[in-house]
Amino acid sequence: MKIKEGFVLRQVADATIVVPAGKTSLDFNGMITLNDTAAFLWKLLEEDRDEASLVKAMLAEYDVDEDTARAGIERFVKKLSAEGLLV
Amino acid sequence: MYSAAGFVFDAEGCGDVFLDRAEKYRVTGRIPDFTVRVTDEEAAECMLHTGLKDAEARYLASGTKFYFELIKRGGMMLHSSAAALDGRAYLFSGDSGAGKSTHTGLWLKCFEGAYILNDDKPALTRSENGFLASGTPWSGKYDLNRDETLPVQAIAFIEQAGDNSIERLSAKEAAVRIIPQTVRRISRERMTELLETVDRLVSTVPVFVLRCRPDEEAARLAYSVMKTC
Repeated sequence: MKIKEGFVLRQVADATIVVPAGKTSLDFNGMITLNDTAAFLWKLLEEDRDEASLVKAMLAEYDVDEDTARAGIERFVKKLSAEGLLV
Repeated sequence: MYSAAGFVFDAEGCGDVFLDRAEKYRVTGRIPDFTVRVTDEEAAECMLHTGLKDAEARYLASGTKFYFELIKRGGMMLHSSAAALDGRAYLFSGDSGAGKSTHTGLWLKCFEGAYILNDDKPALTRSENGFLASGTPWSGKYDLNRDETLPVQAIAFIEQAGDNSIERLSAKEAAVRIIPQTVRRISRERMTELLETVDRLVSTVPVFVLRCRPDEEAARLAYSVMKTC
């Protein structure tokens, strides 16, 4: 799975903000603010990833056990998918 | 040739509404920084989207073009009504229908010497001492703008309420409100530049939320808090 093309992620003040750019802004009208973990996962998902590699990356970055990491990733991916942000 | 917000530009295909409203921005003998050009295809597309007539569509599209150029040069448009008082600009932003122009209209009644710098789309640019706001030929429904540039004192987001109150926003809260009130549908590079400008803006300029009634007390409250921040 992978995030659709055409989004710009940037730190603005102390918020991580994602906005559509180019043609994507015709289909997706809005702005997303991400927390720390979500921003970490979003950046990974700018390239094609499977769940196992996301879990592995999260365990390396955060002090968290595998079940918690997996549950968090599943929640985030489900949200992205529901918003139509994944290809 | 025209000059606004510190930039000199040529205009092509911008239509009669533009020519009329841009008259006071006309200059001669300068070297243009860029050209604001609206093609027939762009005018037709704008007419299709908005239902406007040719001259109005060209006027709207020419503004969009101008504000794209502004982003490239470290500036941005903020959808707001900008009032000027004591040589400073006070910007009131918010969704359409929130009461931006109604509020700045109250400033004109309350404060001697107040006037509208730009009623709908002031240009913001960066200077050594902070952000500046400028009138431009693009000011929305009414031709309410002046060919002037003033330091930005503060920005307030207007929300209608039963009582008047004003509250300072954190930089993060300010950014989240500002982004929907500026140019959309731009390329990745322009968006990256725009977000950098927003980042500077919220770390430099105080931003408030003004919950208010459409009355003079709201104008006095806003002025008293914003002028001293």
